[in-house]
Amino acid sequence: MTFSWNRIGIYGFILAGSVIILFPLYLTLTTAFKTPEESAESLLGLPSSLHIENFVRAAEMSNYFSAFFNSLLITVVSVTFIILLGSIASFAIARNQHSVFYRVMYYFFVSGLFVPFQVMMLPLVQQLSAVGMMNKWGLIMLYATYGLFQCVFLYVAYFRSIPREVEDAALIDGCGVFRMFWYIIFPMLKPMTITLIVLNIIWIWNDFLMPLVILNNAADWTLPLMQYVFESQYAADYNLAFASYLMVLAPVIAVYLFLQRHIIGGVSDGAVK
Amino acid sequence: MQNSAYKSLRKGYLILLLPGLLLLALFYVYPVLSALYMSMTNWDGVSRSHDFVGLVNYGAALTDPRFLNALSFTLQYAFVSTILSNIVALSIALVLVKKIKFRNFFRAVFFFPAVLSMLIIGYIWQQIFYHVVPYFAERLNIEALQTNMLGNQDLAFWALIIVTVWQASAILVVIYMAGLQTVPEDVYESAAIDGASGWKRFSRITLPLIVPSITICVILAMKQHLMVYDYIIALTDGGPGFATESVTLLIYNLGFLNNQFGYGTAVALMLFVFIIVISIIQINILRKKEVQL
Amino acid sequence: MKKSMYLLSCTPFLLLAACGENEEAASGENGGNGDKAVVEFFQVKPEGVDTFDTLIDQFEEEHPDIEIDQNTVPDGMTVLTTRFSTGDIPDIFITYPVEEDYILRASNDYLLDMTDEEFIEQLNPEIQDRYLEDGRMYGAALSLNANGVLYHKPTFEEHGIDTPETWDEFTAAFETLDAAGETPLIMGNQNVDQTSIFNLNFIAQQFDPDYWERFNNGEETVTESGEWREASEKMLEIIQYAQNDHMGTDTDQANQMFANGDGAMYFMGAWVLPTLRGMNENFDEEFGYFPFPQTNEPEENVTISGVDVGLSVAADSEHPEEALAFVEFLIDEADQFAEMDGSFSAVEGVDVQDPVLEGLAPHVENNQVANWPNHYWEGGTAAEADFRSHSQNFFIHEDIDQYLNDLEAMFESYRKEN
Repeated sequence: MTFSWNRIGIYGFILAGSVIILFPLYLTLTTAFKTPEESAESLLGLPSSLHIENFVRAAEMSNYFSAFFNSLLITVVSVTFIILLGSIASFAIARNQHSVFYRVMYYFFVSGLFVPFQVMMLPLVQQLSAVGMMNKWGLIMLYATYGLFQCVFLYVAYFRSIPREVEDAALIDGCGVFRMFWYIIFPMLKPMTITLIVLNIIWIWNDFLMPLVILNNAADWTLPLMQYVFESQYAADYNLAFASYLMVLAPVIAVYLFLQRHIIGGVSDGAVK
Repeated sequence: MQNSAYKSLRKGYLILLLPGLLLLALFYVYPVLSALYMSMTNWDGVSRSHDFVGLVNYGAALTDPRFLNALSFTLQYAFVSTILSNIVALSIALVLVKKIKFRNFFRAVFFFPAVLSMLIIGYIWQQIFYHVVPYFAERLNIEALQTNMLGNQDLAFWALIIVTVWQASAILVVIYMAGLQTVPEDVYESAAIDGASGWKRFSRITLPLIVPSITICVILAMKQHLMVYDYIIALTDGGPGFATESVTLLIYNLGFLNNQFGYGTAVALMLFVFIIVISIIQINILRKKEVQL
Repeated sequence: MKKSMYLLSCTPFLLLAACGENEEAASGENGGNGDKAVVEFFQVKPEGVDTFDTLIDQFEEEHPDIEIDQNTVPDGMTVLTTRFSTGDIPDIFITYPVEEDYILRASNDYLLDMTDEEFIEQLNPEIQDRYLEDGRMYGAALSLNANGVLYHKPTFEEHGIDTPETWDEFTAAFETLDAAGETPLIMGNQNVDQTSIFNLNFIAQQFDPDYWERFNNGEETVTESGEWREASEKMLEIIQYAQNDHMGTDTDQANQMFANGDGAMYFMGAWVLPTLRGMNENFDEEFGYFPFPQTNEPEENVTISGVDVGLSVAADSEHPEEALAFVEFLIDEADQFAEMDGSFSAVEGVDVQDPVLEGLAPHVENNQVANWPNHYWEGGTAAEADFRSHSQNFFIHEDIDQYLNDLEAMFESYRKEN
């Protein structure tokens, strides 16, 4: 490659951008391991040694592990619901576009994409409290419902690329609708399924407003909600605060490091479709 | 083919649709209808009864200085952050689709903020605005930034914009990259023969070709920013004063703090109408550009 | 009536709800306490969780057939409001007397009448009578918070300042400290809460409950009142002594700065003491309290003191006897509670245990106290929140006319609602 000012400009731009993106994370990482004395000496420097006391204290003060498992349970169960219910509903809708009923159903499912949660927030609180569902199971039901909007939108579009001949052949072989779906159709949806799993995990794992409104009991708290509750106790101790932020972000960072290619691929597929 | 197979297929389709339909009926249709009804009552959330008041709440919102203040903040915030995050993301994407070294690494770096919790990102930036920005401002002698931006009524807006653009650009970069990669190489080559270069080539050739990506990104970003909530909670809590009170925060406060369930729901429905109207306007403007091609 | 329609239309959910409730029941059985009466204690003081846990353990030892389930959530007061709106009311919860929420709940028959319980007689009538609503009491006061000026003793000594008892001495102290290059005052005004903890001191001293009654009836105005103007002027006079970036400092950061000794004075309620102690081992030796000197007449000055923990029981609780037994237990153990909580007790004969808080004792013992003025306001918690935001604006723009106009409009809007 030949030397040119143009290329230097490009690399300069991209490096400067990377620094801006990574700076808050660098700050989080270094500060979390430092003592207050070290931070006072040098705000941005590296820690002299890896102080893990901050993490131990942060975990003790909150209910970190309980919140972690709540987040995990809520995310996994909700995403499973979304994928299962969304894929079968999309299959029914996509294969019946000649019927008015199913076309209306399509717009009905997709309409939810435009409704802000705030519209339903106050009535939902009434509705869920009235039946004692202000807990993680109620929250899962809500995610399972609101995840369907996007799920149906993307799956139905994806079905256009799947030929119907396969299904006809399977039916002629005497394969029932459900078996046909599970063994033949669902595997063919895999690229879109991965996209949807990624998008929904990012959404549910990080969501704050719905847990805040719905979870009435400390035993059900998720990681962002726990951070919100304990923020005022951490915040005064700069290093402790960053340790607690890092603990909430760490699971996501770890997954991202290993699966970033699939995650980025999934998101870009989902957006372009 | 046998008729019975098709009959069972038709029944099968309906069964496949039902579970999703049931969830939507319970947790989407029912609350939306309740919201419509509730927005026309004066219910305070505590009393055992309430009255039907028709459209009074909607009229009240239009003359409520607090709602108008929140709406004006939310619209300004959404417009500025949508425009800035799209410009930033498109610039980065244009560079990243070039043949550069470590492209995948850089792509992973720029996408990274998209997977992180907005609340935690807000808290991290709050600490940055308190500790780090004044630290540098003192060394660089920038008077305005030596105190916490979040405590200043004008700067708090821009502090929110900085955080938003930092995180919201991430997902847009990836969408723009996917859009740019669909622009065929030979289009550029023929343009190069015609002598088009630099800005001209970008504005005449690249830009029109990626209008579909722009449509997606602008609508996506605008909707997200009109519903801003997590950053506000983490960074300003609506302050100083009412300077950064978003419509979403106002709805929360009206419902859960002011005991105005009816009025709060009416405001939420008005936010919904705004999102729809703004989305339609955007689609129309951008579609016209597409047609010109 | 409409309420029941809501419930009726929710019946499809009962099916779904069943799984949620089975879960709870199952976990209860696993714990082997299937026969116990489980009483939910909904508690909105995060800093009090440990104290209550200790007392609950003692109580459960004495009453093996009762289990007290302490529940603390973020935005506790708003969650409580929601739970009232849906009829899912906790057995025991914290209620502040006089406040609109209390009156609304009492008048809607949500609260158990405690007037004739024997334990009420142990309570200081000056305080407990605030719970009177149409001659009945629906709550029991356990402890009182108090709001004053915390100060850093070494700084005061260094500059030869005695704790001020009058407004002139107070401002002179600020002046002396400022001239000596000290930071006279720490404030965390980025959090709206802090603004009212400071400026309600003036409002509380200027106006009595009778005034608020006339005020709520629209017989008094803010803009044309000399008292509101005077209070605002005094606020501005003090604000100028706060540290450099007081509008960009939040409560947590301000706590840390003050505990480090970075400033001489700090306006804060007694509930902050445990937090500050956690930040500075020598807190008790280095810091003290004195009452806020609003005027030049020491006997006219008042300390804001409201019910901090006051307990109500739900009228339709399934275990009213058990819930009342717990309330009685807390009142009997008020000594212990005061010591652990570091607060003034509403129970007669229980003295303040906290060495720092003692600084405010003369006012409290003299009954030179005033309730939080916002408890008298129409609009309750919401009006208080708005008041704080307007105050924050005021501290930035320092425009008295604007401030009084904003407050007038704000109070007027809440009057209209009712």
